[in-house]
Amino acid sequence: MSGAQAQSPDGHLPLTPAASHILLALADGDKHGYAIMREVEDLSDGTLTMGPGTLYGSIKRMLGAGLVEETENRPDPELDDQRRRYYRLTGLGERVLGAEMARLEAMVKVAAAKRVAFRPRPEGAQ
Amino acid sequence: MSGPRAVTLYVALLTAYPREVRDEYGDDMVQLFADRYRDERPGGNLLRFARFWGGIVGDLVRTALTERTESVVANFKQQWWKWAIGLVAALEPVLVFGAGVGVSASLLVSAVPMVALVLGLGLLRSRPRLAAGLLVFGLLPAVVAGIVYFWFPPMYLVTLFGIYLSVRVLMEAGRLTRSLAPA
Repeated sequence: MSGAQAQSPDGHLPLTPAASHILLALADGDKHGYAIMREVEDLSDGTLTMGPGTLYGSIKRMLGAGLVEETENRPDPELDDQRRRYYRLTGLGERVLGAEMARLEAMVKVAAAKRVAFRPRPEGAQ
Repeated sequence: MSGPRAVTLYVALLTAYPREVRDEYGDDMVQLFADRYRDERPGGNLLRFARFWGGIVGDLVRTALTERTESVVANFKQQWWKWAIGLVAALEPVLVFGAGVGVSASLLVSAVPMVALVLGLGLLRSRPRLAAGLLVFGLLPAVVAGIVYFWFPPMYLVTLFGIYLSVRVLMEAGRLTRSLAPA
């Protein structure tokens, strides 16, 4: 087992919104930068728009932390530009994503127990 | 603004990032920018144009500042001893003046090691061995400070620091000499 795989995910928590969305975007398969950016916009209903600096800055830090890695698996050359770099989750990245989701779930449960309104109520609503 | 002109402008804006970031991710960032520009087509509508470029410039300013700061901190952690040598060079006239040789003589005597330190730092990458010799010579006033001011124990620390910096310089020169040697 490598050092990154043996690492505890808790040391990486809490994730920034950009990092958690990037990991989530990569959860179902390898993607290149633009595909990650588009998926993050979809996942967040357009509330999180990442520019090139934010995206590649986050990827740089996550590569350094061993959460993601570049992959040599290329799609069909007919379908895509071979110059693009593809990224995928590492084992540690998967565990960190799982731990972050568990952390958020626990927070949501606490919020529900405290009867926190998840969306601002329209004016006049009971 | 046409797509190619927008890409040219974005490439120019990328100089805001440190070189290591541009070398590693510059092409990917340009590709991502070009993809977004192609898909969002902000050229035809003033509001869309302003929103698109506002987002791009805001992202660039925020992240370039972060990357620059990280780069400076990382550089300082690696190269702090060069700044320490600069500090020693600046303090050498004080060390020599304290020995009681007078202001003019102090400046004159300390000027030689100061010039050696400045030259040494400048030549370190291209002529590591010569630079190491100059730097060790330039550090001599700091190394002998504990002997000259033997009655003032804090100066022993200056001597130890001077010796440490000299060893650090010799190690760095050795590393650079090996990296410059033909394989």
